[in-house]
Amino acid sequence: CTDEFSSKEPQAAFGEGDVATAAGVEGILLGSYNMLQGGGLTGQTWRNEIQNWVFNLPSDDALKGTDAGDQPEQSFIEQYDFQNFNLHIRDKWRGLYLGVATTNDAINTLAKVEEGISDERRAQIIAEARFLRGLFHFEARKMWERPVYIDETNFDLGDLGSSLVPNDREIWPFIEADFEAAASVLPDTQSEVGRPTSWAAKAFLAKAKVYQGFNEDGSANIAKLQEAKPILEDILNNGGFSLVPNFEDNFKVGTRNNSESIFEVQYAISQANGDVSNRGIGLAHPYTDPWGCCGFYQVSQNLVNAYKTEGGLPLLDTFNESNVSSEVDDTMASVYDGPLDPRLDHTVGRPGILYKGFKIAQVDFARDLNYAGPFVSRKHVAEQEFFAGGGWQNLSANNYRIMRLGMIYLWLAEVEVELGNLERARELVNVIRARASNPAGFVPKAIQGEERNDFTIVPDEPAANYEIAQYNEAWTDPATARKAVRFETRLEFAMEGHRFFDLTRWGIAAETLNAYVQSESQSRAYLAGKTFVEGKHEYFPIPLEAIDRSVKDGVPTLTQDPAY
Amino acid sequence: QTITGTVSDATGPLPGANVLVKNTTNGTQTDFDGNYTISADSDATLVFSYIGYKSVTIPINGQTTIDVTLEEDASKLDEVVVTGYGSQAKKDLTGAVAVVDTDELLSVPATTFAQQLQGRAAGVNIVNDSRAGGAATVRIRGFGSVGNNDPLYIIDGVPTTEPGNINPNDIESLQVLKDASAASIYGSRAANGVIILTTKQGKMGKPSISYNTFYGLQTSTTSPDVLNAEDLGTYLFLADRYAGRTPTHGQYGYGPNGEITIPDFVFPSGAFEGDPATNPDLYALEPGNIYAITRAADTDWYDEITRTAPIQQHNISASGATESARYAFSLGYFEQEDIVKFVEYNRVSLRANTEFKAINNKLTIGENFTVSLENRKGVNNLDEEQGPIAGSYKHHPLLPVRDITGFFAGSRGANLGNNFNPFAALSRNQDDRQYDLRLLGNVYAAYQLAENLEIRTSFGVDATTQRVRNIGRPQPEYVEGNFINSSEARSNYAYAWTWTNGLSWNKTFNDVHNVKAYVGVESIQRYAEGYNASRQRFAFDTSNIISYLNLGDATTAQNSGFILDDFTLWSQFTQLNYDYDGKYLAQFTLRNDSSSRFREASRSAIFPAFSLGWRVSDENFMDNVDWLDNLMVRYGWGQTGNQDIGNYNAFTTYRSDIVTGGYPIDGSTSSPQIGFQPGQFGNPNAKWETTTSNNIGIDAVMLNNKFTFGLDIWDRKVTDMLLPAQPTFTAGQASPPSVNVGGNTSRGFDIALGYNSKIGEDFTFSINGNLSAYRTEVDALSTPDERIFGRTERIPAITITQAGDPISSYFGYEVLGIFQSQAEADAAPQFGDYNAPGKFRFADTNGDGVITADDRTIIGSPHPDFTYGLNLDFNYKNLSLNIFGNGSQGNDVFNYVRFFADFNTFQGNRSSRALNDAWQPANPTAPVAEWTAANPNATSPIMDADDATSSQPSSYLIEDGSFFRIRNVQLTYNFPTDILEQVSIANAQVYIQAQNVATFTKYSGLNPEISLRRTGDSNRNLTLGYDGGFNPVPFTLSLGLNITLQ
Repeated sequence: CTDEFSSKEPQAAFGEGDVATAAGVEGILLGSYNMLQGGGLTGQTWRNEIQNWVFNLPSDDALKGTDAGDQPEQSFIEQYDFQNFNLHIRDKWRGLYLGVATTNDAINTLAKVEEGISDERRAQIIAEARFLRGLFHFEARKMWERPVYIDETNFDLGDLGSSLVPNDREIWPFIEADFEAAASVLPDTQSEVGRPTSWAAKAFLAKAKVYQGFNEDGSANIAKLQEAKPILEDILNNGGFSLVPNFEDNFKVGTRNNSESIFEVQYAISQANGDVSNRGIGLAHPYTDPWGCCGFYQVSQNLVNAYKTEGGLPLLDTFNESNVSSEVDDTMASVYDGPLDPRLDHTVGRPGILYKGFKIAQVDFARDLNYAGPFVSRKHVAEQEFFAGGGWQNLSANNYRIMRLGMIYLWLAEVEVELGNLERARELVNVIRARASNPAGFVPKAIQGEERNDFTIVPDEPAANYEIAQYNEAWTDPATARKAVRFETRLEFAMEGHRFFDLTRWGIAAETLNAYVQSESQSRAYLAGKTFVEGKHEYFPIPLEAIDRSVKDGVPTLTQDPAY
Repeated sequence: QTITGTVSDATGPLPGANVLVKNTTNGTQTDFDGNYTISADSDATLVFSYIGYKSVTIPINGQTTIDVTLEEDASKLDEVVVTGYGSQAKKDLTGAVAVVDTDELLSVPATTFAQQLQGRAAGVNIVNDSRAGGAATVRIRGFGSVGNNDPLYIIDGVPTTEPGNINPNDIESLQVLKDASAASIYGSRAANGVIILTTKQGKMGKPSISYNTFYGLQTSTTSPDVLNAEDLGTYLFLADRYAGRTPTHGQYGYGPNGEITIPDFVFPSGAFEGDPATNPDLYALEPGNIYAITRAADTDWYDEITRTAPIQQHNISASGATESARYAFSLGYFEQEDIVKFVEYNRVSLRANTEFKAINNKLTIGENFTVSLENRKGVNNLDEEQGPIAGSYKHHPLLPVRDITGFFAGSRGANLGNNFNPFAALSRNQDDRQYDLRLLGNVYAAYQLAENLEIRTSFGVDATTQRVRNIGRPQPEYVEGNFINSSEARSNYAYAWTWTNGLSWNKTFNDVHNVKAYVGVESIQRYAEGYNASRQRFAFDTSNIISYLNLGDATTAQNSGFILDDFTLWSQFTQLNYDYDGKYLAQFTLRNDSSSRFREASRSAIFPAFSLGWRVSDENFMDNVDWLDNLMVRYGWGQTGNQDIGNYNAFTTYRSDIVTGGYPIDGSTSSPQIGFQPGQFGNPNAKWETTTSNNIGIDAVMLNNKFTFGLDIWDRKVTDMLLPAQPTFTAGQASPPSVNVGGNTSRGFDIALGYNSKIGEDFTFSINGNLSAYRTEVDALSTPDERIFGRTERIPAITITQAGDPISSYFGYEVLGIFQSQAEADAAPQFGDYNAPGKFRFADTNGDGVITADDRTIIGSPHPDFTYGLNLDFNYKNLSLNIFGNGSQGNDVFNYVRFFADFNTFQGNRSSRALNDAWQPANPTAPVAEWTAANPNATSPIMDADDATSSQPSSYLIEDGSFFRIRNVQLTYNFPTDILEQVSIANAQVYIQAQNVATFTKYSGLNPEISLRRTGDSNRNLTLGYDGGFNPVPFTLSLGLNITLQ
């Protein structure tokens, strides 16, 4: 009687036995997918955001935005003051390794399930888990030069010390191994669109190799690029993917999971619940109605200038010598009439231009014009028809296209440049530019109405003087070709969270960003004097708390990046 | 033989006095006329006692009639106090027990007795929550553990951790068991001390009916020191200018030398009278069209949200007793409006205590029950970042309360920040409710098996239900607002039962060996669960519609259900008291507890204790020391436990919710599938946390009971401290299990002093004071270098708990001063590119020549050097005056308000410090490198619109929180009894009372008394002294009346 009285089994929770079942394992795996979004981390919703907007702030594309005192910790990241106790850096680490832990838990729990699950599904579960595990580690490897790799043999949910693994080795080989293993098992198509196909695994495998394709000094790692090439070609030739006709279809709710998508992070929102919406990027919406919050993730003058064209082509070296003005005339239309790449107005909200069908952007989109200027981000914002499901109107189901065919084209172009196949590279870049020049995809001209939210669309007239052409002259100089490919990458993927990591992997972050700080501080006074230190700021410090919590036998198992 | 007699005092017969055959349980009480009859051996001894009177011991020696006159006892040494499962005379206490004078306690009107207890007992540190209906944080002898530090409460024998809603007027006695030798009879839950309350029982004599009431008005006597509209314009101009920007603002106009122009309108931004954009016909506030034209103002937000608010109480009680029945009944009503508008608290409580005797008074059956209903109205986030108090110093002064149509005005114009309109937030939440209904009490029976032996059983119940209604009204004028309304309903219930059975025995051998023994068993079970549901998009916002979920849009429904508490405790215990003629005293206690919160291997634990006392004043050699009435030296040792680790600490479990397990794997845009993530990591190896304490005490009564003195010196060592683990991040995420780690040592002393005297016939006075101090230090956590950070909000955690320092020490950069010139800034260790004239000079604590994260260090402690209370009573004829004050010395406070108010954090208002105390250059037009100080004694850094570094966690945000507060001044007039008798009134008094008359402090916030935030969070003790903008304590002036009819 005493023992019975004194024993209490958990109520209102699932026990380990409950989940060691076929349905349980699928559920744990679903929990791993949840961590793709990053929002499942307790105590915060957005520092671990997969779209990496906070970690794009130190790049030359993005500004923190909002006002000076809002989220000082983001300002530190923007200004190359990477403190090891910065909560953004800490929570990125927490979130990614939580993702890793859930994948290992899925694999370990699967091993305990004896019935109710076919061998085929077993293999698929492991392949999906390894795909996700590779992806989380990949994200970590972008952030930190020497993160740790944890697999299911290290991990034991019941032993909190089991995953204390030293960060004493390069983890790229393990990331590649996970993607390779996943690619060999996953099917070519999935009935559930959120699950990775073998093509997705191959694409990330290729991405991993491309990310190792350049040495710290910027020279090419030819061996890695050569490994990447056949995979990229395989995806292009056999994957069955095609570019969507309109560039903007990559950034709209209505055109999710399209023919260009290789892998998307899925979001959903209902009137009742926005917990799996794109809330991690919710703060990065214009500071005006109908969003109201919060004006983060603004756009640099430098990026806007990069979209200037001459003869339809970007000004690779001189783009930043004059500014694309943000002024508007009496009718509230943009005064700038120079030629521009049409992708600009799908990437940036700028005064005088219709913003995703809501209204014409003006300086009232910015929270403090004097602090971060008039340009606001736009790609992640849902179009008007998919606006406001849940309680917070910034939330939407606008998927994040983390892997799309355009990337494959431009990575292959990068590879071809380094392998000396400049003309092939030009061909590939031109495919991207050809799509961008589809006039049907241009932002239309809109005229400000009497009330702030009123506007009239002028039929068949683009919002600005769009001039875009393909590279019609043969590429003969590798340096120019390299610059063109990288410039194209910037234009195509700007404000999607990649730029800072691209600059780093190309080995050109210091020169590019120090020059950027010089020019951008003309308009953004707070950037004056900020310095990107070569050999240090390419990677973030390992969070102090991660090291503090890694003690085993009295010694931390994690060691700090020596640059810090 | 049978003895009869009369017991009386100076004024006449004394009904209800106790008459006891010494060293037996054979006793009786005097009747209405003070008469008694008792059977006893002719060689026995009778003890006559009555609370508040000195006991008298008379050997029978064959007499058949014994009449006694009792003398009033100012020292109350013979008062019998409940100290556990039994009771003891106050003078025989050998553990550290504070007995609180209930009259003193009740003299301060308050929501809870815990608030009234503040400053009354040495070693009991209480921090009040100044909100209406606010509870109080009670800490007995400081913070002993990183985990739970809450004391256990025993109310009429029923244990609880939530004593809040007891009607203070029902309290008969209150004892605080401070050390383990006294508390260990309560074993596993007594680590942080025990507060024992008994409620009023009927007293022998004629029935009496009492009515007590007071009515008071509360006002705020302080306000935040913030800028007005024009000064804020100046601040913003200078902040831009010193940042190297060209000053511009969406509202203010700036002249070349910083002349400020204030616009007529803030929406449209910066517009002036006559501007066609301000044409009222353009006004719109609807979805898709927001154009809420708003005039500029110069609003004192604190003034807008505060008011003079009433507080009142009514209490009716009736009680009485006969020889075989006692009864007491009360009905209380308490109501307090907050000085913050639209916030209110009220409580109705009902109590019935009865007791009956039968079978020659051998059988006793009784009950004590109270039912209370509390009602909290309005917002409950007064101390939070977006709360109205915070809004009163953050909201922009250019904003008015209402726009041109009378609708609430928002900050949608340019550069006005993103605070809620504080007045609107309060008004919109005025229909929010939290109802708490509680039934608490016990029924008991006792039977006298033999002359010396009694068996007793008690069954106690504590049942609560809570209903919360949170209404979300649309706030379209708010810059981040929308047009969606919502309603949330929460409901919790909890029940706990305690069944105690015990056997007590006492006997005296050879007249001098007094032995008292007790054995008992107890079982406790508690269970609590809750539900939560909400809907949005109600057709109308009227409270009769939006209060009911059914009327909201069903497709927006959300709900949840969860367990809050689930545990059992099974205990056996024994206590043995021995004294030799009242001169040498000893007490031994042993308790064994089994808790369902631990697994079999570590489920049971034994908590031993003993204490010894030596009444020096009874020794022969003291016979000639006339000035000493009583002198007792005490020593106690004991162990107590803590099991506050959640209910299922041993088990690893999974949860299933959308946040952590949902994903639209099939590509649905609206509905995710739901999976699993670990919900809790299990630790099957957890065992009891043990507190071992030593206590040495001296009690003295001197100068014919005029002077009392008590001193306790103690230490308290916690081992196997239960601390939520800090799993490595690679282990994933789940609620961490509690693990036994390291320890913590506290030591301290408590002093209580009292003096009372009489001058002439009509003037008496008494002075009572207490002072207590503790020092605490974490001995070890799980690893030598483990650091546990407190809660983080917008800046990294500012508290740290680590071995070698007190729990929740403040941690950050140390500010040494302000750079007066570029040369100084260049010469100092560099902090990135931060150093510049007017910026903080941070300390390079590790001496490596640069300022980095490694230079963060301990910059203060929330623990006071000492706390104290002082009570003065003066009585002259029918008048009495009471003055009471208490204080805390040497504690620091983290003033989070400064993060918002002193730096360029968001676009709201700023403190006066940010402008008037800021360093400024004498030559602002010169290059920065040539700047010289205009005000070298500045205490705040230069205004700089781009500075995000100065506001990092540093000693600038830490302030001395010492204070002394005169809490109560009360003048009472007692109506003369001869007049009252003519109208059948036993006694009556009226009083006028002023509360919180003055507070002496250097603290810059509204209130230096900082409550613990987020009660319910297991890590709440790791973030102490965190001022997120606390309510001020109101000044209250009341009139009161007490009247008793017989």
